[in-house]
Amino acid sequence: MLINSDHRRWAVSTAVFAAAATGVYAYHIADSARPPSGGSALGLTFGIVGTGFMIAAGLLSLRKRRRTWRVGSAQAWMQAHIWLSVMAVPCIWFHSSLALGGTLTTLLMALFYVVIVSGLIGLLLQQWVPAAMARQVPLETVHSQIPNVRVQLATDAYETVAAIAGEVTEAVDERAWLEAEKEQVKHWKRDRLRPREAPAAKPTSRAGELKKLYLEEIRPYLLGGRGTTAPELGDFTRAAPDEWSTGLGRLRDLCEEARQLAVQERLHSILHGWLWLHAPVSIALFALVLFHIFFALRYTGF
Amino acid sequence: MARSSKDLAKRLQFRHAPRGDVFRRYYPWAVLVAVAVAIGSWFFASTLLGPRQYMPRPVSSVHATFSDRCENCHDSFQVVQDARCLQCHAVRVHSEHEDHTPRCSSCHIEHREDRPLTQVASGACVDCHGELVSRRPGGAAIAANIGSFADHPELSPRREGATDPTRLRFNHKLHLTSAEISKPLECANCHQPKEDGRYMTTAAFERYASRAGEEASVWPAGGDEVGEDKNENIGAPPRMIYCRKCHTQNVTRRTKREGEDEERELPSPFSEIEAPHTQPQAIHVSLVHDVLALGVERAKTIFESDQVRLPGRVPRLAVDSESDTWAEFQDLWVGAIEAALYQPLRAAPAGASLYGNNKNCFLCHEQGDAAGNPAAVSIATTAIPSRWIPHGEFAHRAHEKMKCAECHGDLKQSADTADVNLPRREVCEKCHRADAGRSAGAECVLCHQYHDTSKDPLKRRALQKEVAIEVLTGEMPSD
Repeated sequence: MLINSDHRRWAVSTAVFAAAATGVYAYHIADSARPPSGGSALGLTFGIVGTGFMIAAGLLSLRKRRRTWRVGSAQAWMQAHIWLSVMAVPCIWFHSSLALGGTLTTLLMALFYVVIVSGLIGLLLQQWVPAAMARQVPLETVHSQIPNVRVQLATDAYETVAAIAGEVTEAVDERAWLEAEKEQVKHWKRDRLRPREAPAAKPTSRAGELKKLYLEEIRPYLLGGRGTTAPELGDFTRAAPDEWSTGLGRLRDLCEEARQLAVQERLHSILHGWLWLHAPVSIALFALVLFHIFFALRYTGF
Repeated sequence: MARSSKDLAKRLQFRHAPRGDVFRRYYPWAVLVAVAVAIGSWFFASTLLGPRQYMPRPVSSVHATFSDRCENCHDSFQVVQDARCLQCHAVRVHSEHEDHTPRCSSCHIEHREDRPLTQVASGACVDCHGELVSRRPGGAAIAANIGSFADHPELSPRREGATDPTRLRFNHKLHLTSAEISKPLECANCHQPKEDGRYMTTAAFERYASRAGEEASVWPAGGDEVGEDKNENIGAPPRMIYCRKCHTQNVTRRTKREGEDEERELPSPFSEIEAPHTQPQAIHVSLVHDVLALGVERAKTIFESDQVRLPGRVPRLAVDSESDTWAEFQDLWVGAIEAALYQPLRAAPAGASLYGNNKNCFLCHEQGDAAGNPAAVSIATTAIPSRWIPHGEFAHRAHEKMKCAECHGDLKQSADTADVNLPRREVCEKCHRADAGRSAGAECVLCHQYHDTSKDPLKRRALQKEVAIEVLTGEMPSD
């Protein structure tokens, strides 16, 4: 979610709330000279309000699971998630009187900071990574479809190589995918699909070089994705026969697309990796908050 | 490489519901692990620390012995009940007129390791005394709006019209500055801190003194000479100088005995008899003893002398040619001494002190009520207050680095006993400021006690209950 002018109201409200909370807390300290504890009237108020903000922010996960709910737009929910979490910070600070307290409350505060900081990191990443992806991955695809796209890239590469150098018996999977595709065409009557080129019946004497390049570099790269280096086709292309130029150009395009898919995967990991910390720890935080409420009421009463 | 979005879209296959990404697939497991780790941590802490893991801060040192037994103070799901505190602590009611009695825990806040429980914030007091509501008929007897020390009324002994109730004639100015004294006294010559360091002793007539209503006490050893500091310890305070050093009870004044028209001095050795510093009745007994003893001594001298005695006749007592019997002798000389002792106060000549003309009891003492018997002598009870501020406590020990004159600056100008020589509140406020960073503190509890009562810490300690430590710690006593 981009932080833009749409967040102005939320930002102003958060700033006003934080200032008011700070003012109330400072006034209480100056007036009563007794340190407000978490169990005092003021401390409890801050605690309840802060927990309420955290619960409200956590409802975003429910909203995401029920995308058809007509309870505000997803964008509105995300804005609420961000800014309510920010508002919870001063509430929890003042509830704790800026102290860590005992073991349980120290653990709670640690989890709280992990959740808040990871959320802020995620928010920052969301300002930068999508724009980077748009620049670096013009051929971006749906992330969950990347494996399918890789299969298709490999199939297209096999088709191209086979059309120049003949059948490549080692590419068993690609041949199976081509057969499966034929079946799909029959089933779905996809008469608009471009027909596949047939493998060359009489490959040239240099076909073995192309096959070797395909099997050792191009194929692993197209299928392996991350961890493999993009094959260098420049020298081979210059040394290849002219009639291969079209096919080699196509192979180059396929490798470029695979490279972009790898970049997309990497950026996707960066953009979503913080969630591994943020989401589970927030659930753990809620679980311990219940413990905290129970034992706090047990020892301080209602 | 021109490739349309349609070409790209053709690559997407939605025949099957796509597998969610890694995060979606393993998120529930991650949540499970996180919650398990969190609860596991709590469980581990419970095993290791027990209920102490819920303590916001360690308890104060006085409760540290049983800090792991929360049940000593806490009842489940209840605020700390006063009954728990009263199991060990006996307290008295603050005031029978108070509008409500706050809970113990509202003022004495535990789990603040670095602050003692007795350090109650002034806000707790101001909650009531800021706008005092009293059930006393006629309203509160004290100021009703005290929000801080700045709002505190003047100390009661220094309010307008207040005087020293002491029935004793004493001139501080004379004793501290006069040339009549070879070396003027210092405050510490008469006033020394008591053992508890709170209040000062008042001047004592002599070292072994007894006051009405108090047990006899032994005062510190006094200096041998007036104004001379015989204390050999460097930096030690001056020794006590007792009144008797100058104001002896030897009566050498001219006196007029019954039946005589003129005054004459008491002859020796009667003028050397020193009356004790006590009540007239006891003085009389002592004088009778001393006079008779003196007479017997003189008679013995005569008996053992070389004076010729006629045989068969008891020699006439040459002790006193005017007395025929021991009873007459006693009455004569005891009466003469008492007459000298109890002569009324005479005015002093201009520019001179009273001491020159009055060296007897009424130089200092006032005459009391003779209970309808005009012939009896009565010395008024001096009624020197031992405490001047009935509702506050003061510790001189906390101020021992200060000079006396910094607070009691008016003392050297005080010539009248009725002067109250306590400092005004504004003097205290020089250091005890409510709103200054360098204040010596202006909390109410510095001077005032909520739980009264007698304002005597020894009596408060005597109220404390004895609680076996095993009851608190839950350990079985070792036999």
